[in-house]
Amino acid sequence: MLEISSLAAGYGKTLILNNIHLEAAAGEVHGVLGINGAGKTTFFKALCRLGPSFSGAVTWQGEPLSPTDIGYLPATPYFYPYQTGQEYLELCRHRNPGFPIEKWNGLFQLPLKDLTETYSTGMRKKLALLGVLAGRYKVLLLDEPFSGLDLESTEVLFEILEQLKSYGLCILLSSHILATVRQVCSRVSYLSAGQILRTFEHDDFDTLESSIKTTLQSRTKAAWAEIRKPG
Amino acid sequence: MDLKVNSFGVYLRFRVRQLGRILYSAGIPGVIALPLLLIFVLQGLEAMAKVPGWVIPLLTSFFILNWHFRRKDSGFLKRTGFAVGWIFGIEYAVVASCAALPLIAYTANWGMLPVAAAGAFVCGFLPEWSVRQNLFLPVMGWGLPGTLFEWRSALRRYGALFSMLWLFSLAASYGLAVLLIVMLLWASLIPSVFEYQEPRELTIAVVVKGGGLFRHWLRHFWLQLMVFTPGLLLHLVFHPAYWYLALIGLSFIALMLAFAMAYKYATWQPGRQRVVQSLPVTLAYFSLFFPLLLPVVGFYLLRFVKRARHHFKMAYDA
Repeated sequence: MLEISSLAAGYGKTLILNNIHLEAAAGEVHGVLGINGAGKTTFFKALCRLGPSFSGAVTWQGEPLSPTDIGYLPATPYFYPYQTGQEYLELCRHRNPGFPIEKWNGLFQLPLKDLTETYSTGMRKKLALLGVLAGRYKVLLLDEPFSGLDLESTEVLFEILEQLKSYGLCILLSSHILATVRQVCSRVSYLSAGQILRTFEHDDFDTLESSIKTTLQSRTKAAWAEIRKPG
Repeated sequence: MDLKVNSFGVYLRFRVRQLGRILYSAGIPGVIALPLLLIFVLQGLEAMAKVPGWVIPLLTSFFILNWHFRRKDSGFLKRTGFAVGWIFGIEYAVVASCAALPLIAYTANWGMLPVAAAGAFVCGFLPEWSVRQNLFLPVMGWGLPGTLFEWRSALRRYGALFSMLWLFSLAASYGLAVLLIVMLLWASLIPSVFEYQEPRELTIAVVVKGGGLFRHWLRHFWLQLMVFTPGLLLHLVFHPAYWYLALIGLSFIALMLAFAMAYKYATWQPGRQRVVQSLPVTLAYFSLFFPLLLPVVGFYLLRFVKRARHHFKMAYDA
């Protein structure tokens, strides 16, 4: 069980996340939803201690979880210039040299001998995803893993997530695509203004969309009224 | 321990292969430059033989620091579990030792080799540069017009470094070569300023519709003139006989501005990732010290301007 309690994070004096509590079981894919700027990426970066200030407690199976046991797929992955796909994966698997790159690449058929500069956006996303899988982590944080993927690769990613669930990994996933979240996640936490407003169980997913719409409509109502005013 | 050694080995193997590709991609101008570089090294050794020994680690540390604050891979290495401080420290120590070795051997100043290596090693453990710094030059960045967007973002990121250099040029202006040295160091930072990505629409609006590359260069050069006006005035007050040193410094900045700008837009293409290649920029910088390299830099500059114009046309027509 992954337990995050009283997490607060921010940049400098600006607090972006405050008093976050979240629980996710081993073998669970837990969705993190929220509008742009809600703090999803900051949440993931704070868990990995990549930049934002951090306070709170993160435990895995009752023990403190080290950031090095958390794999993070950023929305825009970094690649070195003049680096082949193979070299990228070799760097990613340095803690887990037994990771069979060729076998896993069978899922995506990436041209690993080519430089990553020649890859399309979707191919780069797939390569970064393989990189995260190569790291042998206990918890995975996937920031927008479906963006830029074609239909086939999206299906492959669904299969990969199912496989990882069966390995007992805990996965936190953010996405703007509600349909994919509904399909793959067991539970979804809705993040707004730096706090988790509500966590939806799988059975409540039907109310998820209407709940998000209601929250947003209350915000946009006043703005539309201003826009429609003459002059 | 074995894991750490293995990790460093994986990283080192990649870096060596990457260096090979960078050299290979330098192409014909790079091949032409190599004999000239050799002459440059010999000239450099001759010129540097007279300077005090401590200057060697000071120079290597400055360049390593400049590299450290510009690199973008620390986040990737951290999240993939590398011991970033150690890896950077060892990498810097190796690079600084290799760079300083010819000079140290020439001057037989062997005591400075461990000092240069240790200084560079320590740089590896320095924290990342904070995005916002509360010195006055970054604040000035907010007031700059949108046409100078590169300096706006650079002053927010590297503002403290620029501020310190600028303050030093004023505070120590009684020193004859201070302004020239500050301008040289300032010029070394200019390529980093232009490495920033920006929205394509902004580039088209500012560069293409704003009168083209030359006008863009002129705007940036005007800003440099304004920034250095107090330093130039102080230099003229203290050393009126050496007015030409200020002129030389300004020429350095003008050349690096032109090169960095042309290089940035020559390697930038709409919808494609940029591949930043440090060799041409390094050559351009060293040509400030050794004019023998200027023909190669001129060749690069013309080529980059031509490519940059082509890329703007592509973006504008798209």
